[in-house]
Amino acid sequence: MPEELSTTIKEMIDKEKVWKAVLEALRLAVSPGTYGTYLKQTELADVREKDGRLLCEVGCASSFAKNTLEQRYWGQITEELERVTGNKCEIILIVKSRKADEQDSISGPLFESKEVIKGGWKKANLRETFTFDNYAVAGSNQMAFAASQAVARKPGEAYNPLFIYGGVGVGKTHLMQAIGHEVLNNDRGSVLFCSGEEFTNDLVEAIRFKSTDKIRLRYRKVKLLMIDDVQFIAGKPTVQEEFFHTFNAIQKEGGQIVMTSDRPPAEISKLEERLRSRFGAGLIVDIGPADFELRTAILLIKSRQRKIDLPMEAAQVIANKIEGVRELEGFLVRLISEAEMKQQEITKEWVEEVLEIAKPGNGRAKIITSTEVFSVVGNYYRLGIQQLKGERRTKMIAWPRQILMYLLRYELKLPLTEVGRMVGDRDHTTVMHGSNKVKLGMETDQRIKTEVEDIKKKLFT
Amino acid sequence: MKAIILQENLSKSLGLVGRVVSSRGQMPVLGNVLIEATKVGLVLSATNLEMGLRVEAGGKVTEEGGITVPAKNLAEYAGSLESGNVELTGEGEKLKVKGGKSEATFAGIAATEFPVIPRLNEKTAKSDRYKISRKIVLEIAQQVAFAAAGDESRPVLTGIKLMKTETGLTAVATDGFRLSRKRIDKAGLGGGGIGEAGLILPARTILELARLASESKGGEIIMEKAEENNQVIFGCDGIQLVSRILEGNFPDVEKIIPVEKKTSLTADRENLLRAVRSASIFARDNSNIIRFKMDASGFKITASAQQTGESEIELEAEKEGEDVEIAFNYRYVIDFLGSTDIERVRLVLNGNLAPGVWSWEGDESLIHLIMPVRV
Repeated sequence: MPEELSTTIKEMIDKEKVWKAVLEALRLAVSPGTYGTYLKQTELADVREKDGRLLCEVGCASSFAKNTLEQRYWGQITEELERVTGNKCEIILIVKSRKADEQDSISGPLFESKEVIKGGWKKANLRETFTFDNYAVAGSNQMAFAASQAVARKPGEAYNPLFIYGGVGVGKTHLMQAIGHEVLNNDRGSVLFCSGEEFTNDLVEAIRFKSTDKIRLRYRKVKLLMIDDVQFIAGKPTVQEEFFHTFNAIQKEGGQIVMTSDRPPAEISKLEERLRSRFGAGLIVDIGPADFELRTAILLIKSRQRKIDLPMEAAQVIANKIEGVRELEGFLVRLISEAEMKQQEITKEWVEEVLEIAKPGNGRAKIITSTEVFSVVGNYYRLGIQQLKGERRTKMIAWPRQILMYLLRYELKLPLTEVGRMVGDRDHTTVMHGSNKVKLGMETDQRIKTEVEDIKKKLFT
Repeated sequence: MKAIILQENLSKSLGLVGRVVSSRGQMPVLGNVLIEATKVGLVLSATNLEMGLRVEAGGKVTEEGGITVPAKNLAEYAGSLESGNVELTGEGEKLKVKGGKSEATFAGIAATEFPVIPRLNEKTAKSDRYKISRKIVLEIAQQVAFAAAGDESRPVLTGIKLMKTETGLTAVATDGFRLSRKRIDKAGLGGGGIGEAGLILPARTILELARLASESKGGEIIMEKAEENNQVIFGCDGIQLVSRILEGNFPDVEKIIPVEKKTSLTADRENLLRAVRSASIFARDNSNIIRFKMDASGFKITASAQQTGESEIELEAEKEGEDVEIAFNYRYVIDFLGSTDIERVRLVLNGNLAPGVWSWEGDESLIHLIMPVRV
């Protein structure tokens, strides 16, 4: 395909050159009036070969020009064409207004403003509320936020591509769409947001209906292309190839690409090497899980969006208890509907009350037996139950044992002596020490926290 | 060539073709009128390469032939002659004009230098021709054409788009700041005139056609398309008008016509026009901006400029919906109000950033959009 392209380009240059030479020669032969009125606006529209002769289609601005040229300058044009190309030529005159072809779609404020006001963001697939204004910033996402703002200010210049990764519900999509909104608001060009999956579907559809050209036009002419969850295209060779070309086409035109994923490019398996290297060519930033302050801020922003007054203390209580950002929003919705139903003012105490009721609703309604805790912890660390109950105190076994104690004590709310009895008849002080160590570890070390959360997830789901 | 024609007929015909004579000095022959003496009488033609006009002037031809002479001079001279017979004689590249006791010789250019203007195909069966009534042409020219763009930077917007509808046709013109859309029922579609894709004709063509239609005596206007040349030929009472068809993508207007209706206002057209004219005195020095203010206290039009001063006019109007304050370019408002003689007009607004939708009270056929000015 690249070869094909280069030959057409060559032809184009040739056509223009040839016609310029012809016109320059004719200019000397006819009066300036004739040249300006009839010849100046002509162009060589097409050249084909036929029976050893060149068939040249000459486009004229109007039929008047065409008729005049046909009757009076036919011979002269043919002669000059033959001289320049060195071939026998035959000319066909057609009416072709050049201006009409070159017209862009911009038609004045009546048409433009309508689009901006009424749905630039809709057309780009953006969500209305996902803007920078509604994005809360804290330590975990500060870097990503700064990078996004830089990209939004100078799309295609600052960091290209921008690759944002992080776990679920940390705000990757929000941040990316905020870039889109900003670019649209500043009228920097067209914007398109889609998920990796949508891109795949579009392409499959296009291949099915033989309309890949349309798809190319749609994705390649934008100034800012945003692909959400780009890891979904991994393992799909054709999609990756198309994306590769799209990527190159946009970058060549000075467009910006922003992607999100749940992991860095280096860790996306089955991703083609050429894409992997391109993903890393700009800036890769991660967003960590929201910390307490950020969660509080998010709650306050979300409640403001919903036009309700959430007191600071209440927000803190919620942020303390609920960790996922999506869950926060879910709880907020529930809180609002309940407040409306009961005509209740939202106070810290009432929120605590609702939180208590909400707890079993958190997906933790399952009643867990101690045996299950044993088997889950054992499975997680690849240890037998007897090993956990046994006497050995190497770190390999002792640490899982302490986690086990922690879970039994705090999650199943068993008394210390009972826990001790279950875990190989140990003293209650051993249990106290072990579980406290885990608890402290969770508060200070993010890794330990993730580890325990992981086990808890396995336990409760 | 040799012919005799009545002075009134010569003068009138020259006046008609004179409109399309090219003003560009580049090609002298385009500033000329082509005079052809044929069996059916004298035929006068002129063209500016965008449009071409051919008028049958009548008269008695004794020797066939043709010549071109400067249109303006000949028209002026013919107008100065006393009524009666005028004798035209071609001698080489000169034309001798003799009327009463005056005689003049015009230096001209050979007829072969003149561009060929296509003519109606006489063989086309009458039923295959697209007919359009004079009334409709006049309506489109008066109510729609003024909204087309005047400058050539976006050529397609200098045109009027005609589209076929189930019951008749729709004509639209816009320059990007305002838009007129007229729906005409029972336009009498015959033959394949407009075609499925619609037809974009230069607004100047429609205006010229309307002028010809209003000056000629009755009869329908027939239309024929010359696809290969991208031209359209209109015929009307011995006159043929040739125009190019505009190419390009005409913007999709249907999607920008608002459907919401936050504020609606109905007022007497003449009073409104008078008020806008008077406010315009103060708007001229301030980017032509006049403001419409609608609230509980009524409907006011204001305008102000630092150097000039300010004016406020209160008007009687029926208002429905929200209060609003919006700014328009007064020229656009005057253009619309002056395009009709309907008694009352309606203005529908959706906030001060969305276009104002003007229409006639009790008549849905015309919609005129004007983009507000942001202030």
